[in-house]
Amino acid sequence: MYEIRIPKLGMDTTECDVKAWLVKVGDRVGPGAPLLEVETEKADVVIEAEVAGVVSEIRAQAGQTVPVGTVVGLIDDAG
Amino acid sequence: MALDKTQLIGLYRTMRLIRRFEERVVELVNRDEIPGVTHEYVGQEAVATGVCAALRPDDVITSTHRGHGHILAKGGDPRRMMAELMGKASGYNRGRGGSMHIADLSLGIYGANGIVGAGAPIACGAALAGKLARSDRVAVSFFGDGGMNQGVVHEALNLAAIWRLPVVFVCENNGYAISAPISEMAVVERLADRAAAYGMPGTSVDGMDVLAVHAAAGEAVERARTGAGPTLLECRTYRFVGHFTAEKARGIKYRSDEEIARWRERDPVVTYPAWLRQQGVDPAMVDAEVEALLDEAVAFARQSAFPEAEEALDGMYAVTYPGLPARGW
Amino acid sequence: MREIRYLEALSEALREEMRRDSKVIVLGEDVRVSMRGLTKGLLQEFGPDRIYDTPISEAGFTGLATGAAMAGMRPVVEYQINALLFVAFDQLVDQAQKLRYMMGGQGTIPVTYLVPASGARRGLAGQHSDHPYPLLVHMGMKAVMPSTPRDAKGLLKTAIREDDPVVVFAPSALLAMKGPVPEEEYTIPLGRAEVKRPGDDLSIIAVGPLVPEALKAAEQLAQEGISAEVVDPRSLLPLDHETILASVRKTGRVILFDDSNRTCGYAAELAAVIAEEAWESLRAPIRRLTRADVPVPFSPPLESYVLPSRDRLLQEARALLAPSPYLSPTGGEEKR
Repeated sequence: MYEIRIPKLGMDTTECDVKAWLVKVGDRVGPGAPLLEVETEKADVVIEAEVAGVVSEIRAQAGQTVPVGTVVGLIDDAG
Repeated sequence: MALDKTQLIGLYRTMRLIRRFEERVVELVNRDEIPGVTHEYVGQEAVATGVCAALRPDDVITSTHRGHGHILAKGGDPRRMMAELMGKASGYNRGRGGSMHIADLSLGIYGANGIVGAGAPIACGAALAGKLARSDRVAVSFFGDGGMNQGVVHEALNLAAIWRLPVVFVCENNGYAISAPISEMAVVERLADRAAAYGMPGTSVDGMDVLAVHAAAGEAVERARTGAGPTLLECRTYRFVGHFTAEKARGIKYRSDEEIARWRERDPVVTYPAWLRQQGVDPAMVDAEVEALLDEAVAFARQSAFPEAEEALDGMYAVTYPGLPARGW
Repeated sequence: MREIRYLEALSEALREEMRRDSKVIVLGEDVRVSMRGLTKGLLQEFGPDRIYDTPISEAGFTGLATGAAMAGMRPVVEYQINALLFVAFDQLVDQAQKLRYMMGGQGTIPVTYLVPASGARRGLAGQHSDHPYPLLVHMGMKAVMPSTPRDAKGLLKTAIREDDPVVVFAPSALLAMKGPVPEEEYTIPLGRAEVKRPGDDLSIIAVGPLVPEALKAAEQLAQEGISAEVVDPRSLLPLDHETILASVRKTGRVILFDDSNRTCGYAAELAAVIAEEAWESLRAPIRRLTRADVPVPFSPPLESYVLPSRDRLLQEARALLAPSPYLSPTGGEEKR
């Protein structure tokens, strides 16, 4: 199971706002596929998938503020 | 300087250790187990490895913000490095420095440095001290193509030349000073040519070839040891990752995929072991050893405690006085 | 006791420390011919391995001194003028002063930075007249500013022997001053102020070149019936809070007579310490006499105007001691 995690977005960025999910549960994605948009004080960032699989869980909703490092969803990359 | 089988495998082991250490670090930074960001050395492993393999434990190195590779190659302990990156008391700097300041004076590692170019004159000072002590130890100053434009680096080159200091200046030319291509930041194409301006020898070498780096470094080190003075060694290399950990996530892009792919074909951590196997030398055990060592390093760091908060006021002075350092409350 | 000049006292200190410890080396511009006078004769006595003429590369040779110190030497770095500290600033405050801490307490960096001719001298104008000690003290660097030949010799010896970076400001206004200096070996520890003249009515905390001015003012005030105590911190960091506070608690009135700029200057630090720790003894507001926050101008009347002066000190002292509307702490009438 691949964890969709908010990566470190800047030297002094500790959290970000989830703006919009670009996929929903059940969508099949490949490496590089855009998953969700987040906003920091510096920029809007699109977080991409690094594996191929099916989106199996979405944990953070649009409008939520989450710390860097949080797992916001899961991709089933097993089969 | 002919290398035996153990030494040849040792070069691969160091490069592989650096590569996997940095890859683990990226994961840990993104999980925020390592606070802040780091500057990974991915792609440049052959430079640190080749240079440091030509050094003795009592030789000194000064490093940069992209220092994990230099420190590991000089003999730094991955466990204490990981602990330092996580800010633990068992880290090299007791959690006070983090990635950009890791140092181990007992190994001659005079530290990574957060100010570009600042280590160059410090290396000169270490070299002068060695010369005055009638020792043949040398100092190596690492800096990048960007760092080579810093004023103090020019001052250091000149000081080393006029005083014939046993320094090897290693310019890791990875083509970019953060996002600025070197072609826009210097008119001189071959940075080693700048050596002539100071009256010292300058060599430019393929920084993706660990044996070439080692040979060139060995010559420069020997020159320094025998009292013939400093050398500028330019190593042409490339970093496969961004300037710092967050760059990719931020979507900052200044290099083409084609360029990155081209350099990836010359990845020393791939091409060198392939060459070894062709020579009938099998580095098979190395990968598993390195993983086990890094597993241990990460576990050690995770299990280590943070320093006590009050410790934040310690270590500033060798000689203490009441009220120093001042508290803010 | 014999009397020698301040500059000679510094020279003696350096020479004696170089004889005592072969790790002491000197770096700086024109130190071999001794343009500044402090390093005269050292090349002849100790040879070229112990004293180095540097190129005009202040950041470079400051960093070099750091590396040499980390590797076991005990460098003394001379800066011909104060402003060169600005040129070397990163290597001073971001490297030398911070490295030991950032490395978790590994090693020592025993460098002494010497500024022989600090502060203003008539007609040297904006870039040759600074006294930037607050900038270094703010970053935690130990600093001293002796005001007599005796203090100069004792403090420079301690600075050299100290295993941390120490900057020694030797004001140009004092270099020719003659004073008693013991022949026998002595040092003066850091962190010890000195009451240069005891008094009861008013404390004048004076720094460096302003100490002799304060003493002359105190002499004048005595004839007017005002007994002024002059306290010389000598050591800017570590600072001897106790001696200064004891003086203020005794007199209840204080004038801070300081040769740095006003905003965030050294007097601002002294004022904060006194206000925090001795407020209940104060019978009047703390007064600061400092430089104006401009580059020191060239023309003599302009230069005199912006620098702290004895005249202003006298005016200020008389005003503080004049009958005033402030009540004493006990609520009774103010007695003088």
